[in-house]
Amino acid sequence: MSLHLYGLARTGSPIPPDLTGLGGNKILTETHGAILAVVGVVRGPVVETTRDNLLAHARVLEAIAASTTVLPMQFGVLFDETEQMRKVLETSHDRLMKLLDRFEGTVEMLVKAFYLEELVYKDVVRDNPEIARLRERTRSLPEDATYYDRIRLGELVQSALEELRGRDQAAIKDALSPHSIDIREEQPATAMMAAHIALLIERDAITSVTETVEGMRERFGPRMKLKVVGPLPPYTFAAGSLPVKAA
Amino acid sequence: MAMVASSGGMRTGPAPSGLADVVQLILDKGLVIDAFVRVSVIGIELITIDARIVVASVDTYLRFAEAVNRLDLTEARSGATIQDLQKGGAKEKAKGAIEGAKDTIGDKLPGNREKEEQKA
Repeated sequence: MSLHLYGLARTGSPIPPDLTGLGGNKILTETHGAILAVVGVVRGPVVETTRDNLLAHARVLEAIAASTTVLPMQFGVLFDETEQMRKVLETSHDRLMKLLDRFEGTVEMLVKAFYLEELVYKDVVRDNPEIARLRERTRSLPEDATYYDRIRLGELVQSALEELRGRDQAAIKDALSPHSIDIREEQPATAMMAAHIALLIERDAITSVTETVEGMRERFGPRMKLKVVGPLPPYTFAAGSLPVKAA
Repeated sequence: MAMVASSGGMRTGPAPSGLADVVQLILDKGLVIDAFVRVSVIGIELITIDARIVVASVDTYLRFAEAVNRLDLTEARSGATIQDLQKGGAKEKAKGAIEGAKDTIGDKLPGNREKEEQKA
């Protein structure tokens, strides 16, 4: 048996009752001075990164973040016993209180944007005469005769996509910045991902963010699919390592 | 609970955040107490994340070229709707350009997340 630490909040924070976490086990709280630790019991000395476990971790933190400030732990922070956790939290008490102060009243939101392949390629062809010309040429001749033209065409398409992504990403970021305390661009994971942006916002700015994204849907039209995730605890902005002092 | 509002022209209702939305966050971000992170990657094959990074290579260029060459440009610019795309399966046509390796998270993790705890 181990103790899995989900997150840390201020003592007295309203933690929703009857939450269950990894393994369907009840979520418990332990207070250490001004810090409240949200924990759950798990079997064994390690936790497996299964779909169910990862989602359980995320769900517990999201349920808490829906109503109060919580510092989210990375998945898999385990202690053998409460006493061990107490020592670590005591060591980090001041730093944790500073972090809790810093993130008080904030939540994280993610905004992800994806291009619809067919539509974005059409725009690329229509907006770039050289691409349109090479496309016509390579379509009308046998493949063997157009090898170098096709390479050139692909090169132009890729750079046109990158240029478009750069512009769209900047436009999305600019629209969201006024509502954000902090904003971070993550690396798009695929060629069709237009933007992946993490926002730290005041809790009362959630509606402003969703409305802003709604406006962007109209602005970008059907070529882009936009997705808003949140409110989440500040995973991206509170990321870091706590010092451990050996006793 | 976090909700996802997603739309590409049509409105869809909020739904709980999916694993793909949070997996990177809870495995790579968040607060960590290094010595006490003990994760086993058993079962990780259930989750794959896209690690499709488009690199500058002849192959990549040829795939982009193929994608635009397969487009049907006969319809008007504003004529295509999401519904058309879904009906026509048009997405398939352009797929080649972003084909790439899918890494499992197991590959991404160095396999050393399983750390011995220090005696406090």
